[in-house]
Amino acid sequence: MILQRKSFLVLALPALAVLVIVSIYPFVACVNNSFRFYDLTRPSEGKPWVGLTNYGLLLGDVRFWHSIKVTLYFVAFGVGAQLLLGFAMASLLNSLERVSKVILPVFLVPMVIIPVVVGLNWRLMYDQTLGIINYLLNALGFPSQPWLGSGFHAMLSVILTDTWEWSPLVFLILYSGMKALPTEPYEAAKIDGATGFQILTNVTLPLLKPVILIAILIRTIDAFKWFDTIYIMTSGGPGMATETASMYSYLIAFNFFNIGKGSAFSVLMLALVNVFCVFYARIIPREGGLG
Amino acid sequence: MKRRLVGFGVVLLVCVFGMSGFAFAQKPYEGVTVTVITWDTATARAIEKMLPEFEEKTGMKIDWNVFSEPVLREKVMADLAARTGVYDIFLLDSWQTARYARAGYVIPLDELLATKRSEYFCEDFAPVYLDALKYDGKLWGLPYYGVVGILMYRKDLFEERGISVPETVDQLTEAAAKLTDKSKQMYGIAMRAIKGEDNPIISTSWTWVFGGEWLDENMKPGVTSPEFIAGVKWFEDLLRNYGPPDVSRYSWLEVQNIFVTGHAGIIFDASDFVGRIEDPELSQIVGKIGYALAPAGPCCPITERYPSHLFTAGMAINADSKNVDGAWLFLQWMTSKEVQQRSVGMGNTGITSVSVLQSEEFRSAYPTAVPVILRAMELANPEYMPHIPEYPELCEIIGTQISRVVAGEATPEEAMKVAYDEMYKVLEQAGYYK
Repeated sequence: MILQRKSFLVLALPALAVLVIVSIYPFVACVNNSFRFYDLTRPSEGKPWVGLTNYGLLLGDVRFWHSIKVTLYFVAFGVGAQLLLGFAMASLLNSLERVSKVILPVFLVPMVIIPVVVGLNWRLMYDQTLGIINYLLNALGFPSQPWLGSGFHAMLSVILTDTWEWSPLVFLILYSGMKALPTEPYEAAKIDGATGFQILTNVTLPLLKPVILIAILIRTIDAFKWFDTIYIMTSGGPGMATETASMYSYLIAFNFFNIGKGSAFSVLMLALVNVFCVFYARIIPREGGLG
Repeated sequence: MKRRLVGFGVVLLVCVFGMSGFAFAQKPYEGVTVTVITWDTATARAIEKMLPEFEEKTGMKIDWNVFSEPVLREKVMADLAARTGVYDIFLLDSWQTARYARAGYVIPLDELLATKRSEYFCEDFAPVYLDALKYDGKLWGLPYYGVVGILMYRKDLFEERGISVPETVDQLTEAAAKLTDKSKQMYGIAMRAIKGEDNPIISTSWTWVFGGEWLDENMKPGVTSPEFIAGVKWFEDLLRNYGPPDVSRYSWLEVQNIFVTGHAGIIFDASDFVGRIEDPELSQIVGKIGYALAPAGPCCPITERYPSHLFTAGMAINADSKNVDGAWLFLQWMTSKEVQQRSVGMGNTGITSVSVLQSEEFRSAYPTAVPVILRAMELANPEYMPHIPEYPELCEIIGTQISRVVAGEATPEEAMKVAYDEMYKVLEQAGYYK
């Protein structure tokens, strides 16, 4: 009914136009480029069609698979930690009625700082000899850690910074979800004499399922693409320990200027993220309810 | 009636003379805007202050843009690839010269040099810096900023422990060993070993003086040669034993910081460090710094092979620029002896004019460093890195693999094998093995 009214089209047109220009056209162009040889440092060779060559080169590249592996670690552990921390923050604020208005903006600070600034600051803090984190550790009697100096530690540090930066987003989503929950199930549970843990697992979590799904989806998609702080903190090192797919594709597209290969990389990443999204949507039911 | 005619005549004469005076006062480049893009550095800030004088003299309007290195690279490439000619003059460093020139994005300056040389043109650019901006027999930019590799060390600690300035790599290892006390967080030496394209300028300076080459005569990768691997091994051992524990993440910034906070005894890096490490607001070791030429490797004396660490940033003219004449004039002014001389007092230590380098002002600003820098420039040899369009890819591969060795992720042999294979692929796809 609403779609048949002409005014619908007129009103939707500006938004559609923006969508086409900013999203759809670049996407089609990207897919097109992925099937072509397109090197910005060789303009004289044009953009000839090469079929699946770029895809073949990537899928046969050990470094490509390594970067996917690093990305998966980053996403899995990063989003997992953010989920736990965000949920803890949301639960905490949910139970503190009076001071919540003051604490809420403080919780949000990490996520509004420009990622490059976040990266630079954490890089200085993580310095093994001169950084403040080791300074505080030493003051407490613990030995200095090679935060960005060893492969294992660098992954840990990068995930830690990401968790610091984006848990507030998860917190925000879950907190608003919690605020919208009905109170009757809680009253009923208290009357039945349920413990805090039982309330959490049998009432809160089932009711919050759709909200949790949204938080996981948003964070997963972002984490797959994440670039800024990792680039600033480690450049993908030490060695290749933190070289995620976004870092490697950046090298290919914006350092070596091979747009064809970079586009193919992006399409492969899109496919991978889609697989994850479908997987999530299947295992977590859309309707939150009490079983 | 007659009075009116005379009056009219006078007015007419005044107008004619007035107009001709107006024509004389019109500046040669009135109405021309030249857009420039360069790195955000002390040098750029110094030149920005001098722009009004140039604009006043020529009538040209300068649209001055500064960005960090990666952002500049993207913006410039977007402009060049789209052939929009937005930036008339852009920063072209020696790493990009070959591939931008081959792509036809840059105007060769030889003809302009021959026919339209202005009073501003600096006649004595250091030959090593000019050579770095040449490709295919032509010059593609004027040297705006240049650095060579020198040793910087704590002369107070050297005196205290009776260490003399090392002249061979073995002596350098010994000196570093004597200065290292890990329990006190004091490290004998620090150098760049960060993953990627930032460390080969340092690390392959050393493999070169061990006799190693990036490419052999047949353009095959030379990184698996015994000489190259010996150099990598020396680099790894030196940093592993006497360097900071997380040295495999060190870019120039970390090297500088560990030195100026007093935690490193010796560093090897760019000559433009001198401005920052002697700045009392930044450095805790002002007055305790000694400068020396880098030591010789086992293959040859430094007169044959010097650990050069050579880097030049040039300013080039966009092939699609719509103001080539104006851009060429500004380019000469921007790199002129006068501008360089004045920028000495404003923090520019990447001077490219030999006479400015030898000037009283530069010498008195950094009295112990300048003779070393001048001698290093004479010894430096750009041959240690191949000047080909595929340079960025090869540089990234070598840098990543050497970083992996220093991080302990792979042995020199393993890492150089990987580097060989990847370099081979790049060169093969570029058509060198047909």
